[in-house]
Amino acid sequence: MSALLRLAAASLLARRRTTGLMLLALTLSCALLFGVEKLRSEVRASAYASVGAVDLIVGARTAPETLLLATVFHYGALSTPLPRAVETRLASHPAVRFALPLSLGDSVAGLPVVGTVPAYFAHLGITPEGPLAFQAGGPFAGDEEVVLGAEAARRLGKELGDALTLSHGLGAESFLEHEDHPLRVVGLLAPTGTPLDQRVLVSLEALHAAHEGAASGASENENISALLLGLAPRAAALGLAAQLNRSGDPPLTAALPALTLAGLLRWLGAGEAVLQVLSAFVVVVALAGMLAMMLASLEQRRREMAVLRALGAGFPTLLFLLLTEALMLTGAAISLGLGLVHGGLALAAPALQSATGLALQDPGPTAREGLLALGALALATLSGLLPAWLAARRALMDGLSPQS
Amino acid sequence: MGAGSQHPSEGPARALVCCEALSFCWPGASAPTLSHLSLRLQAGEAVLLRGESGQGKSTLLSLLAGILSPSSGSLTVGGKDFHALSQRQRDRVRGADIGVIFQQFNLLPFLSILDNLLLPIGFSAERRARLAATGTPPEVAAEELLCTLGLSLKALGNRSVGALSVGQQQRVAAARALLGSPSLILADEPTSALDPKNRDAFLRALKGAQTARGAALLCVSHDPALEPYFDRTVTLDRLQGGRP
Ligand SMILES: Nc1ncnc2c1ncn2[C@@H]1O[C@H](COP(=O)(O)OP(=O)(O)OP(=O)(O)O)[C@@H](O)[C@H]1O
Ligand SMILES: [Mg+2]
Repeated sequence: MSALLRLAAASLLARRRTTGLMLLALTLSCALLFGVEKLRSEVRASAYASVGAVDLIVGARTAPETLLLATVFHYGALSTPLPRAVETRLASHPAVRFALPLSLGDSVAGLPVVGTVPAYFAHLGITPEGPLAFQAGGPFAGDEEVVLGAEAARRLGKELGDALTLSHGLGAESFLEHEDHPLRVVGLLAPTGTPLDQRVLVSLEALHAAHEGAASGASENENISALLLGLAPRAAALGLAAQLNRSGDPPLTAALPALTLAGLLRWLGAGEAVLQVLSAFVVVVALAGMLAMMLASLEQRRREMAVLRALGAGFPTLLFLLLTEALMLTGAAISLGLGLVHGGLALAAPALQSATGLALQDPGPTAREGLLALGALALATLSGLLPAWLAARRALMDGLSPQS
Repeated sequence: MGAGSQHPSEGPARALVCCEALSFCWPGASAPTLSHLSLRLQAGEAVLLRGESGQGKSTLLSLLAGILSPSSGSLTVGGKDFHALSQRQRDRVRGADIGVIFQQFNLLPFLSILDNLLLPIGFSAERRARLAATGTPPEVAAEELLCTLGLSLKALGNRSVGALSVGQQQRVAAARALLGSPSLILADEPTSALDPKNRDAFLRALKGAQTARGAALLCVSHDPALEPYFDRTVTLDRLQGGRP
């Protein structure tokens, strides 16, 4: 057995040029397969992590997707404001664990500014239920303080204790600068790999003050953009959403973030599937190349087979030997492909994070990747079976003296 | 006259190889390649087999090695009736008890000389056990065999198989065939790629090693110059007594 394995390895090594090229093609195709899978799972994990512990998003009547994209991913704007009275009303609902008001629409140097309340930090940890982790400092307490996401802090170049002024509206053009009323950075959030990293978080009052000038404070009939609700029990979300979506004063939309996200991702899933099928095809093509290489080498290896046959090798032995070669090649390619993807991620993660803010958490090969690897091995066995069977069969027919 | 009369004094029970009325037809061929062939080979005997090209000498060796199975007739090797054995069992008998030497290309080019020599004991547990019973480590036994054939691993060094002359390759092949003391050596034109000087050296060495180990040798060759090295010469025509 081990003698046969060594024989297979020696034979592969002896043909190292073709073997090497084949290995390269197989490795790259496996890396593509695993890379696409990694990207797919990473995008999904990051998207779901962005939703965090929020069970329901409530805003003025609009599409649930619009509500989700605007509040979680800062994509698009919510045109109709939500009276703050709704928050007061919902906060007293028995199933509501927390109701966090969001005020959106402002930016600093292209980074979204989110007005909210200090409780935000207690509830929206990325690991569900937990509080948000801080690199330094803590939540804002007053209306002259600001908390920065990890990426926001890096891009603004601000540290704890630095001063920051706000501008109104998305975009770089700033309004009347309130140089006289700057905010102080009191907290820096730890990286989460979600859009939270880009956020600049202030109190509703601070945001209001920036809009109205220092003149007025927060008032009872001020408006917010949306509400993030955490519920207990979480299953109450469906009923509450239906109830809120029916209410007409004011007209509301309540979106179940996980459900809405799943809908969006399902749409994205078609694209993913195309990518996955394509990368699987690339693996199939590489395996077909291996098949062609093995078939081409059979004629040269007829003598080799006759020698092995003379030494007592039977049909199963020759079949095993040739299949082992195919599996060794594919196994090496899979390991190298995995190494390439995960090693590459480990090397590229810091650069990627500073360039895109995407914090890749790579826990190593996943079960799905294991399944893909098994699939590739099974495919290799199938494609190796043909030349192996042909060669072993012919070696039996050839007898001791192959006629070439 | 029947072929069984070749050695009337010897009983069939003592014969190492015994075939009676053996016929073989290649699949798809219109006429049988071998028909009604009878042959007896005693232990320790060296026999030269001659015959015209294409007459079926290599085919006969494949039959004796248990690689092909006869269309009809009986074949016993080392007391084992090949008809009663499965293909796998015959493969096992070949690995354990038979050494094969080809005309050329006996060695796997991607293995070292020593690894080539040790191949048969990797394939057959029986051969391995037989060698182990002598108490000599395989490497030493291989070196001893090479020595009787006029070669030395130390002198050849780490040379690759491809860097050996054809004559040297044939001797390594002979040493491999003999390692682990098989009872039967089948050689298919082992000297046809050699010049007369190398041929004589090879045959002397092969004969010497074969006699020393008491193995039977059946050697196919067209070359009449080989006859003096063998106990007797047979031709395919005479073996197939049933044929006109
Ligand atoms: N693998 C094969 N398939 C079909 N027919 C074969 C095969 N090998 C040999 N034959 C046929 O069997 C006959 C005998 O061939 P064989 O090789 O045994 O002859 P030979 O006596 O060894 O010849 P040579 O002296 O040239 O080596 C030939 O007619 C040959 O064409
Ligand atoms: Mg021949």
